[in-house]
Amino acid sequence: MADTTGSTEQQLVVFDLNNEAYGVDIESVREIIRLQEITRVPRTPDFVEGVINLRGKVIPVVELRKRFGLPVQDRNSENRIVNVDIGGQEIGMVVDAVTEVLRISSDAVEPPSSVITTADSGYLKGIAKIDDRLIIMLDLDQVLSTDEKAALSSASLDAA
Amino acid sequence: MNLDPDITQEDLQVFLDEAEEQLQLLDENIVAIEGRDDSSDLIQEIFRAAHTLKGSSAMLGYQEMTDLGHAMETLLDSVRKGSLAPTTNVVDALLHSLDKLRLLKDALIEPPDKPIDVSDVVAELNAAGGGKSAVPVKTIAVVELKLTDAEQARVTEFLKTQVKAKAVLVRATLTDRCEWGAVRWFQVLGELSEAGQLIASNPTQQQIEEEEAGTSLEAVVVGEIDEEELVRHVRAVADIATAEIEEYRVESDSSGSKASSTAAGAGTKTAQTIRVDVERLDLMMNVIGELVIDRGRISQIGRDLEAKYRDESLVTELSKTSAHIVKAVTELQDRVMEIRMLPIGTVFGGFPRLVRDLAQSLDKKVEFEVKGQDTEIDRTVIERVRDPIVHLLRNAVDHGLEVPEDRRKARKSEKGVLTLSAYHEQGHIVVEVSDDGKGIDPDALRASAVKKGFLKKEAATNLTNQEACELVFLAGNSTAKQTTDVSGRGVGMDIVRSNIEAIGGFVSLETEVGKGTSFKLRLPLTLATVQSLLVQSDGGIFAIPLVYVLETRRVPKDDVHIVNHHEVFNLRGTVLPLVRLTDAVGWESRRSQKTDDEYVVVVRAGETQIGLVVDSVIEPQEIVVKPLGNFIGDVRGVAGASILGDGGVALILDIATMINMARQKGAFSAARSLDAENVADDEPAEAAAAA
Repeated sequence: MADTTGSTEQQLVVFDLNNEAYGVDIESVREIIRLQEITRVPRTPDFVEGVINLRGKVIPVVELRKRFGLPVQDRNSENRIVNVDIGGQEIGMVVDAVTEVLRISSDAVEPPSSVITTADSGYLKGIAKIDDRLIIMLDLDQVLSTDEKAALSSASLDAA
Repeated sequence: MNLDPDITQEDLQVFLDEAEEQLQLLDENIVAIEGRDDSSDLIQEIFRAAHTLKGSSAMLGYQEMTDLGHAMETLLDSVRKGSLAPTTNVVDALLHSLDKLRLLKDALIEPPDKPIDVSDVVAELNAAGGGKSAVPVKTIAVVELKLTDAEQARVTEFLKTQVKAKAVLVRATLTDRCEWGAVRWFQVLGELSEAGQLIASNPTQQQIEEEEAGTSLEAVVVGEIDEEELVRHVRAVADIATAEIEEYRVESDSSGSKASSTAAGAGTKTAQTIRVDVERLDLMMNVIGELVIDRGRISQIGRDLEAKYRDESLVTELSKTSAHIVKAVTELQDRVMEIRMLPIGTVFGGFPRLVRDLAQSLDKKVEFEVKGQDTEIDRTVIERVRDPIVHLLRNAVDHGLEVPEDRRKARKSEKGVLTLSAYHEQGHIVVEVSDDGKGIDPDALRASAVKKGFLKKEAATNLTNQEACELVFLAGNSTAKQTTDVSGRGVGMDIVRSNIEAIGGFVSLETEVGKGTSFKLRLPLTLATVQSLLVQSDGGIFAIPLVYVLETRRVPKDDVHIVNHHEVFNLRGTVLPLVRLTDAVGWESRRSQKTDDEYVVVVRAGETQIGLVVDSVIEPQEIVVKPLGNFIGDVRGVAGASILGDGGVALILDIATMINMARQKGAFSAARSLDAENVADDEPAEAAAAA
């Protein structure tokens, strides 16, 4: 996805989640939409909010706060659904707010290991330092990794 | 196998498509002529199919197929002329040839390890036909072509209207050693038709078809013709000895003579059909699916606007336009749906053969009747019902119908009757496979289910006969005494059921010991859209495919009883389990807080019924099925999603699975215990699920 050799440029979509800034590669973002009514789907993990209709397509929506184990807050007008493409499947992610689109140099990105080393940090691709801010860069494939997908399908089996 | 080196991949594909069609024709018709003397139309059709195969394979230079086609044709010719009766020998020989033709065709796709030898079946054909050999190409003296007045008039008319056009006379002869004269003349006529409009030829196309062509041919063609090139093309056809061309002059001015409507030669027929890749139709159907969704949305917005701005003329205008769009989209949808429809007979084609071979191998006599082949059904559905039907037919011949001796003892005609019929019923297609055999014995199934550990003895005894018969759908519960390679291993009926349920249909059976068995497959007309009932429950909207819906009704609170923690209600004397939709989809229950009536949708899968409690019933609607996607994957009890007129998403319920889930929870035993007023502590489906 991102080129990490030399000093190349990359564009990030930056959003807020529990007062922290997260960034995803703009290449994988299809669009950003306002929150709309989400249809619940039974027998799915709790971080799957349900499905929405996006111009005739049915797209699953994930609540990122729940996915990351952060406290859930009431929805407000700032909430957005960031629609991303993960391996050909479109998935919507509910975030607190989308703040900006940033152009960063790959020099500004540091590997996550130097900053955080928790077990759950697999979905962190790196930390970008812009002036005095830190932006957590997400590896979308890992945010909804194959393990997670396996958990999803087994969840629907277990419920049976 | 040495093919003509000039054959392109495209030519080959065209040949394969055509060959497949002809083979299917043969498949359907050969079995039907056995022992009949009134089947001249069928024989004519078989003859034509064999002839076409011979011709097109000769063009390809596929000698083995040409030889075989020729031998079949010779045999069929005798049958056609009545000098040979369509005995079992003849039919066998033809069927074996058909098998060989299939091998030959497959060899074109994937070359086999060793060359395919056709001499054995050719010998069998010749023996069946009394040893007659191939008909040689007749030699007739050089022909001369005389145009009729009508044909002359057409030439004149053509020259008048098309400034650059000219009329030419083409003469060609074949070499002496040419074996397939008719084929070569066909190719020549093909070249001529490509260059311009073929007015007439001697021999005519019909004469060529009937093998009455000699070694020379004359034809008149009009059009913008490059004479040199045309001659070159004609000469390029194999076995052509000479080809000449000259300008054709209309003999007399026939502009005054009225054009008679005599059929003029051949080759002028314009194409009435085109071949379209089915994938394109599928893509088109997808787009129309989007339109159908928008159709719903547009009419909803129209209604809302009208309610809000009643007197605004623009709104009225918009409503009118949207009403028209709605109509046009509906029309478009119907038309494309029609294009995708195929007569269900297209899958029935191989069945007479299948039944015949099977009956022969089991020493049974079977009269196989097929009805309603013309019933049209979406091709996506057709693809998925073939295997289940094959299975039902095999089962019927193997287990349903008895051997002649047993039938005699049972005072039935020696010949068993097996009927396959298809018909429309209330917006669905029903395919029925019925036999007049020994029927299914509920006690045998009870015993088998107990023996195999699916059921406890008391539970088996408690089943009604109908329920016991439905045990045939359990995996592994075969009652066949002997396992044959045909069936009896107890796999299959469960697969039949799950395959049919997977496309939103269901299977039911009726049987009577000694009288016979009938399986009914109820199928949706199409898989692209589903007629559904929209209901509301706990704020969410759900779609229930109408195929499962029996009725909707309000049930007074007092009529709902609780047995063993299960809610049940009485529907006209039958006690049915009551399932709350919120429970069924796994959301927290808000049971029985209401004091007034319950809204109940009575649904069924097979013969099993339950009442589904919902908050309200909205309306029936045609919906487009959308998958939930890989990310969410399969959710038990949910068949997919659909987009509603207001842009929201509704989940489509998988009723068959929901009923099974209710079974596993023991809802049916609860209902039955109230019904029969005795307590059954076990359940067939519980056991089935455990197995």
